[in-house]
Amino acid sequence: MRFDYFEPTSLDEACGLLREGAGARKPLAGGTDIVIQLRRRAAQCQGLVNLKRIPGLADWSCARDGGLHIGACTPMRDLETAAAVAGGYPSLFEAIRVVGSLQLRNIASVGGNLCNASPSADTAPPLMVLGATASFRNDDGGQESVPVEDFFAGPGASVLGNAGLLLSVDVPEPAPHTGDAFERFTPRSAMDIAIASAAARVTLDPDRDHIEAVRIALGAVAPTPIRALRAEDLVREKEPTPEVLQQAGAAAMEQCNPIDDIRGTAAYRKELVRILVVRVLRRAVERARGDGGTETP
Amino acid sequence: MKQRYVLRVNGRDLEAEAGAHESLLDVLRERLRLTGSKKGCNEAECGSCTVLLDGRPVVSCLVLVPDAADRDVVTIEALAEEGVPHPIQRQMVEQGGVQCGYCTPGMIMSAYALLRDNPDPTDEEIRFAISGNICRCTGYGKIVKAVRAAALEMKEQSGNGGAAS
Repeated sequence: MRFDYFEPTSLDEACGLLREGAGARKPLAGGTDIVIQLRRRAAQCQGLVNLKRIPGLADWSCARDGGLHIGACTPMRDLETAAAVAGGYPSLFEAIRVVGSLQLRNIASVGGNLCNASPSADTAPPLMVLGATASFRNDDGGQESVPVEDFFAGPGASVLGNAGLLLSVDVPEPAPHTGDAFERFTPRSAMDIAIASAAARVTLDPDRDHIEAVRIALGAVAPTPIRALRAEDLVREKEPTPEVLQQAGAAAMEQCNPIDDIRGTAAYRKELVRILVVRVLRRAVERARGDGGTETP
Repeated sequence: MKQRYVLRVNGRDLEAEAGAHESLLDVLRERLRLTGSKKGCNEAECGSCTVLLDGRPVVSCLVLVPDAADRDVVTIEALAEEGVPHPIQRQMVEQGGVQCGYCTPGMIMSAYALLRDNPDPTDEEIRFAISGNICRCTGYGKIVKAVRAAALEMKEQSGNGGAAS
């Protein structure tokens, strides 16, 4: 495993280095995916462009009324240990908390988790339900933003071209009476990869009886993380009764498109989706009502 | 192509010639001969290579050496003072938390970072802190017990008499 190594100190310099590489150079944030892939010879590249010396890329902030701003290279552990994230965006907190190990999350970045574009990327479903946008430099050096749900193009592929760079992920401040939750299923309680995962966010009406707005996203059950739009339609404007949540779970199960692999069969994944969607909806509703706290599963 | 890197390891500036593709773990072990940090999986699964980088526990197998340059690295070699083992080290031995010993340095570094930030952890907090350190011998019970005993001992040593804060 040998490669050229670059440490640009500006975005222009980094994009220039990637453009010169014409696909043979890859950006390096935490390195917890790319270094392993290179060592296993599962990925090939002639150069790594370390982004962590570029000012601002590893900064994050959480402002009242300003939402959550996550620089692409922010270590996951920085967000995990921030009370503002656990309290304000519990689905994201719950997803980060199960990625790899603590020692990994001190290195691994949220941006890298998205750019690696694994169908099972744990931070993707919560960021999708939270309405986050990804801001990036495109191949031509122009700046663009897309909703995180439009960031993925397939397993291991995103909207970033050879010279594109993710800059930040921005999560808007949640509306009142809103709650969100994330769950994933793994056979082990630590150091594992999701067989299936789900996140939901619900906004209740002021009387907290009906669901006004809802988003549901699924991980590891399609070529990319996906929204479960039909399931959302079934619960919107409804009272969140157990029956309604069950219908949403069944609809999400029908909508996903999992594969058989070493971690589980497609049929098993579908069954998990049905259960996980009910659970995340129930917990999101509890949180929206203000009686769910921020417990972890 | 090799380059010269300066690493601040255990409070000393050490120079190493290494390629940019080399991991902090390999440089510590192979070039600086600090072999306390162990190489298990080399893929961030096992935690036996855990060291502190700028005070934070990391898997040194995935840190490329240029990323560690000019930053503070603390390895297991720094814990004993003048030949006297750190309370976590001694309790790991006393409580039977060490069997084959391969996971032990990484386990201790994770526990060390935990007790620095949280001197009085619950068993659940201990288990969470070491959840990235895999042990195939002990079943973890005695390791948790050792960390708990070390926490108590460190609290007594710090002169607070162990009184609850």
